[in-house]
Amino acid sequence: MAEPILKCEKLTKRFGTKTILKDCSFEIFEGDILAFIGPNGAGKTTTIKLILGLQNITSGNVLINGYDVEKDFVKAIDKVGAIVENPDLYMNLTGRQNLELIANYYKDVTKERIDKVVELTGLKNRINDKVGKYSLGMRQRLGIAQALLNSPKLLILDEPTNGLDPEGIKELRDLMVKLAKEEKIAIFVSSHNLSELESFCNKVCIIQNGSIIETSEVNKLKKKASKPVYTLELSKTTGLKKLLSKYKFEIVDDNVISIEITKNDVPTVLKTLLDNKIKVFSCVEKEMSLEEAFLKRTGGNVID
Amino acid sequence: MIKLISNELKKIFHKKSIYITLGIFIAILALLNIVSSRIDFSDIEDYQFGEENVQYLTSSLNDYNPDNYEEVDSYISTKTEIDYITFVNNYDNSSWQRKIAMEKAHEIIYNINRAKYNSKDNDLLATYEAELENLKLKLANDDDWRIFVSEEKAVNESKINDIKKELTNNLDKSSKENLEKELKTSEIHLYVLKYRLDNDVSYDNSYLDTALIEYESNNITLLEINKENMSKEEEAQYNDLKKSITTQEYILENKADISTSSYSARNIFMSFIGDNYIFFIILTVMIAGGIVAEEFSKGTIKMLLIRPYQRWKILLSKYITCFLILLFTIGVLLLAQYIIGGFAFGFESYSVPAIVYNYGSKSMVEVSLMKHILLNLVAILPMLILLLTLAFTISTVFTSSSLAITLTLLTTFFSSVVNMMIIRSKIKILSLFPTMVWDLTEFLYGGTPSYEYMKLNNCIIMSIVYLLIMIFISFFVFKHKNVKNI
Repeated sequence: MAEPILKCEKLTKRFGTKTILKDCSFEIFEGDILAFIGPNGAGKTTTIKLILGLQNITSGNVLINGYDVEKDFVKAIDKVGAIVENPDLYMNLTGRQNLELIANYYKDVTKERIDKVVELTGLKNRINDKVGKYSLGMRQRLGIAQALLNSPKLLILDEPTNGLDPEGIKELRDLMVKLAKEEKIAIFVSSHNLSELESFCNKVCIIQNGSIIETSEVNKLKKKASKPVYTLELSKTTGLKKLLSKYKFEIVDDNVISIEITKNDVPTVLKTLLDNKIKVFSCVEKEMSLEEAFLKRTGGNVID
Repeated sequence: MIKLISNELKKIFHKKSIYITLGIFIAILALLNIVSSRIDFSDIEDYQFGEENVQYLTSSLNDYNPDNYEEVDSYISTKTEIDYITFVNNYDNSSWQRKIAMEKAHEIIYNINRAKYNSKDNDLLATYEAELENLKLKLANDDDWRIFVSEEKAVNESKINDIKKELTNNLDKSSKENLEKELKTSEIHLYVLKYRLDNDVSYDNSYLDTALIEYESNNITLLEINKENMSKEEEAQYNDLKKSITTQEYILENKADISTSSYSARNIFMSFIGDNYIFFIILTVMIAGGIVAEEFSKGTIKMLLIRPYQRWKILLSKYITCFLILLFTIGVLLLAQYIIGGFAFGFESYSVPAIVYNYGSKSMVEVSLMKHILLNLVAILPMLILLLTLAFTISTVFTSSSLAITLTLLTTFFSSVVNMMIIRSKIKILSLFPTMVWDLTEFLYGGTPSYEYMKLNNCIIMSIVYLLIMIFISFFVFKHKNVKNI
């Protein structure tokens, strides 16, 4: 197995008496797109800030490409691109001027690279306007553009879909998938918007109250959550309690129920319904969404 | 590092505030120059000798009773004033007679009034009234000031001979000293009168005329100082007088207009640094106070700190940028003054070099204009650097640009008050206070500061110490700063 691009070992952050992060550990390899999800106040942004050296680590360490962020900061951060919270840029300069400023911090970012990144993020038409005139979506794109300038190996995005319209989110998703696959970049994305993430992330890391409670591949998480759920459209939903007392089910609508059963149980249930003169119009396996899996795992949300 | 600094400069030169502020400063400079080129000093004189003043004095004369022992002095001085003004107003404005009258009449008239109302001595009164008549006669010859001067010259020459003769007699010490003083006084008068005749210098307010008058009065004041037993203040006054006299001697010997009292492009330029350093401070502090704090308040600090540079390098690049802005401001404003001054007063005066008094050699030395200005700049450099660093440090520690700018400007404005209190207190250790050690202007050209505890070595060393303390604080704080929610 190759070296992880990002490795956090028992990251802990304390502010006075308050412990914000406790013993967080996870790894990302090249080509991974990791979804870092957690309720508000869980410590997502703090984790990102610790990784990027924006805040002091109380204990634990962060290794990027094998370099310790505290001891070898310059080497560690060299091939990292990031957006933290809002992509704050200089409002009185144009998009291009902002990118040029950032390009100046790296040795090998050429004008062609700037142009390529501008095109990748779809900003070609407005790149010479002052950032103060951009909409939120454009600023978000510019933030992503600046994160890509130095051809990073590790991309850290803090809620990158903020402010993007569905088209923009789709473009971002496609871009990330492309980067991960073709350029073997490792991407670390934090977000609340779980439904968007599940379409392109391959790994997920769940954080709650400063501790990581789950790290696994997306598919496995969904399977792990519980039994599959089937949605049935019926002619009537009265009197079902007696018939289906063995199973866990929920009346979703006038004629629709969702029932938690295994695949083997399906024929039995159908026979029970049909025998009791209840018509079945459709029976569909509903895949658990990441959001549902997440809520099941975190058991709701309590911020300490 | 160069890349970091060039980025910082790009950011600063895209800010509108720097251009607006510079523009305002240059506008103020232009205004000052234009107003100075039109100033008329005679306005003040006009009031003193005008109708209004005479009426005012005449009416206040009624308040005093000359027969009352307690009021007689006030009566005499008011009446003298009135008589003096009346006497001077007999002569045309800008005539040489008026100048002589202004110079000589006051004492005579005062003596007349004293004799009349105080001592009530008729003989004395007659003597002084005759003196006044004598003066009137001399002034009545309205062709030529030269005749007046020749007559005065003759008077002084004979007085000198008389005194010399008397000195050969056997006299006691104090009489001898008094006579020698009188002798010197007359010799001074003689020199001045001869110079006027030989060089055709009339009483026309020209630079030579002014130099002669100042030379005369300075030397006479100098005679009053007892060289043996001088207090600190007297010593300072003595040095000042020597400096002035040397300057006037230079002017008279070389017939060069090196005086800095009149308004010319060169003179304004020479005193530019001392008069206008506040502009340098305001602009530099504006930048230094914001360069770190604004990154935090705008949130752009995150974009800066995730780049492959150690934090101290990033902070250092900002610090160096502040210095570059300081140099830029000084350059721009000096250039602006050079051009504006030249247009307002004419560029010719710039070719006259600065002639300054060197306290070491006790003589006048010639220094090119640029060198003189550079020296004045270097003398206030500790102050400029310390204030820049103060704003920078407050900005870094508190991430508030308004706090940094306000506190630093307050320090600047109150420094003179603080210094005054420290000098008054005469507490030696306080002479090391930051505001006391940052201005080296008094040390230029070998000078010694008026406050006895100021020493050049202390100033330089303490300035460096304060600087290092502030730099250390800012770098330490910046290194360990957590970037919180912005």
